[in-house]
Amino acid sequence: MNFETSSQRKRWVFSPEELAELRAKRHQAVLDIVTKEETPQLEGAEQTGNGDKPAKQAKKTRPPSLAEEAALLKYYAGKMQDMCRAFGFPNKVQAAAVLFLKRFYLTYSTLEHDPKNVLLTAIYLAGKVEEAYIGAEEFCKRLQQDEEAVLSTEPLVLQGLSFDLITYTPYSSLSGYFADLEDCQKEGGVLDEALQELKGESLTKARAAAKAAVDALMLTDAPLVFPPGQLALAAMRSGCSKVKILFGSFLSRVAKKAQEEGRSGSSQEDIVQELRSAFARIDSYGAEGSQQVNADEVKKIDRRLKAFHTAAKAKSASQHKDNGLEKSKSATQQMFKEAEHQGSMHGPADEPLAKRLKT
Amino acid sequence: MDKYEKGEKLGQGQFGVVYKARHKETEQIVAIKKIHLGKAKEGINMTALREIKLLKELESPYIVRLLDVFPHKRNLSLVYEFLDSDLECLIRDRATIISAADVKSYMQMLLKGLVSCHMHWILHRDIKPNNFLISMSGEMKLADFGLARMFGHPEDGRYTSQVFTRWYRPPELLFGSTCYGPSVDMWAAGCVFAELLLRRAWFPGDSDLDQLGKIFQALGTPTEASWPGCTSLPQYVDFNPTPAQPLRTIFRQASEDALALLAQMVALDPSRRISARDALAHPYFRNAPQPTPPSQLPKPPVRAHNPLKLAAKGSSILQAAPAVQTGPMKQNGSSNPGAAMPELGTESTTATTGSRPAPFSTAAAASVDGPPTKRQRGSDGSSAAADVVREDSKANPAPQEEPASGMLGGPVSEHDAREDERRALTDIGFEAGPRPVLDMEDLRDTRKRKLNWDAPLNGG
Repeated sequence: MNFETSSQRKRWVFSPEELAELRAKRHQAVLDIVTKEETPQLEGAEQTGNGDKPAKQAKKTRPPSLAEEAALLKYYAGKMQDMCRAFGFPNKVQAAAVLFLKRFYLTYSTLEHDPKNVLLTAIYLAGKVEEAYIGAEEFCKRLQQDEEAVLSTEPLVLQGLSFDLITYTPYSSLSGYFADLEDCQKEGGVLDEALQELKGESLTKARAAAKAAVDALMLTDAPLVFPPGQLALAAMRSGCSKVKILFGSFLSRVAKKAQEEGRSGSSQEDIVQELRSAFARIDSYGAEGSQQVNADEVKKIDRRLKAFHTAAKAKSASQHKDNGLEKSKSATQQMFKEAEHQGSMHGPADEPLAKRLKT
Repeated sequence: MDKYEKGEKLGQGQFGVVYKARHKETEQIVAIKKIHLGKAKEGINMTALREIKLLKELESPYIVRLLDVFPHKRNLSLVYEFLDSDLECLIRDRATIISAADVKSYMQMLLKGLVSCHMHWILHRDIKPNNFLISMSGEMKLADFGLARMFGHPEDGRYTSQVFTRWYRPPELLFGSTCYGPSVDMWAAGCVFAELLLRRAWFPGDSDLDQLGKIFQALGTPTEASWPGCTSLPQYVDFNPTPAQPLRTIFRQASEDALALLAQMVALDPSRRISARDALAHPYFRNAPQPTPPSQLPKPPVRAHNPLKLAAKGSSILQAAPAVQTGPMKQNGSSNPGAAMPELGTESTTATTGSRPAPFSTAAAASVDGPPTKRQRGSDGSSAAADVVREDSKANPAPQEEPASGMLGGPVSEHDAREDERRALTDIGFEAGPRPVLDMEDLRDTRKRKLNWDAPLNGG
């Protein structure tokens, strides 16, 4: 099975703790740089203004916290799903695009790169990667976005992904499992009565509910933590429970197959047990994913993020002016310079990721 | 870029320049392909993107390794392991004798590379001699994934038939099939096998029609009985019925088992074509003579314009070259096919892995969700449905596959390879036109077809 040898398995599966650590580190690193630069400005403001103004100012430009960043990204991931649906892209494009966004913001922080730009490029790139290509011109026309902005962000996004572009997402596994279910039904004697009779309308319903469960899971960290097969099984289980059908006999069947093929040395019961405990964790991700993000809340966060970006940009521009560099570099050139600076496939950006253990 | 010391220019491709370079710390000799991004209207072009995304997933001693990718100025630099020569140079070099055991060794390495691709659900789609690079230590690796793509996804639309250099293009693609699998690579591999035996291309067609003519002249015209479904392919053309020639009359010196394998690789009906994995298990590879150990294979001619100049200019690099161990492979005589072919049979729906529904079984047509995983193992033999346009593509018009956007040579560009070849041909007084690459005519054709695709589907 190629997931086993995939770049995803090797480099893009984490424990929740590792995820938290990666994000906190990058977040702090950006803050450290910017606050160092900001200090003199704040002092200046204090000298001229009256006492409480800077405090208010500081509150308005307070950078989003890690939790707020997460809420923002979840909101945008949902938007990406909607956009992809509107474009009529196959699921694989949507899933790849969302996963690109998630991976990108393990390498970088929203404090550095506005997710609004990144998400458009992520969708455009996912279309290319998944061979469901749509031209940049048409893509941008339909979204009323600037083509140049989408294209010029592409190298940065690739960099943030360490050029790992093949993604494994639960959608195709889910199709596979439902097809397996139908095969089991044909075979007979494998499933319990309820599952054996899961057909027609209720099957359609279960399928739709399972797909919705995957959609919700894709908005959380679950795809960065669990293999796609497990997510698909958990989603299928939740789909079956929507039509009040227990899933146990199919799960045993899956475990039996896994055991027969000797992938893991464990017994069938162990595999079932292991899966059930994974399901419990996945379900809590699912619950989190199906909770709507408050749009007003997001707007506020977004405004603060913008303010933060503007302040940071102004600061670095004035520094560049000092060096007489400001006008000599186009935006793209600067981006490349930065990208180079950040390192390549094996550069510093890769370092925290390299700590990731599972092989 | 600071990590590398730039050496001489190896070639100029359609999308950029290829340089030889040396890693300053590890001393490894590499080929760096620079892809210019500046004016790109579509960002990073599909060819480069395919190459990056697929090579990053593939790690095999029989596939050229992509060591690094980084942006530099307004370029994207792709760093590959460097290999000195390629199979085309070797075949063309009349001074080199390729023994039956050598042919077997090359075919074994070729097929192992293909097994690796197909196991990862990748179709190479540009198998031909100059895409197999050869190191001085005799290892052969598959390169240039610019036309390659993933296959077997239930949501896949139709694939373009405009892939492969014409001489290696399988008959179903010449007939316009847009629904195909790993058997397309096997056809081309069969053509390479034949070329190793003949020391010239087997089917050097000068147009698509001529290509089919040359194929059928040797292998006989297909009928609905010998190749079910062939007459309903989009661009099926009737040929005057011709019987197949016995392969023995074309390959006089080849062994029986070699011809038996070859026949299975160039079966006209793609569903009857042997898979890469089965081909490796063919008696041909077990029978005497044993395949030559790579280190004892003939030394390939270096693809340089002027070997003397190269030696003078980059002597340090040249000396270093043989010492470069290419990738993970430290191969000795006892090449172990088992090691290179991790269990294909273990692809399955398990608790820990994603499943991937089968590509082309008839069930795919019935169920939008695609067939279950267990059928995927038989993807190669998965029936003639491979060439019947699936019903669900009508119901669910997925965006069309980007047509082949052009050729990007391997570590050495097409341009230079052709240049070399012309030179090689004049050197040996061999009469043949330059080998075709995907030419502009082909590309125009693709574009035309793309427009047609927007209209309701023609006969499927």
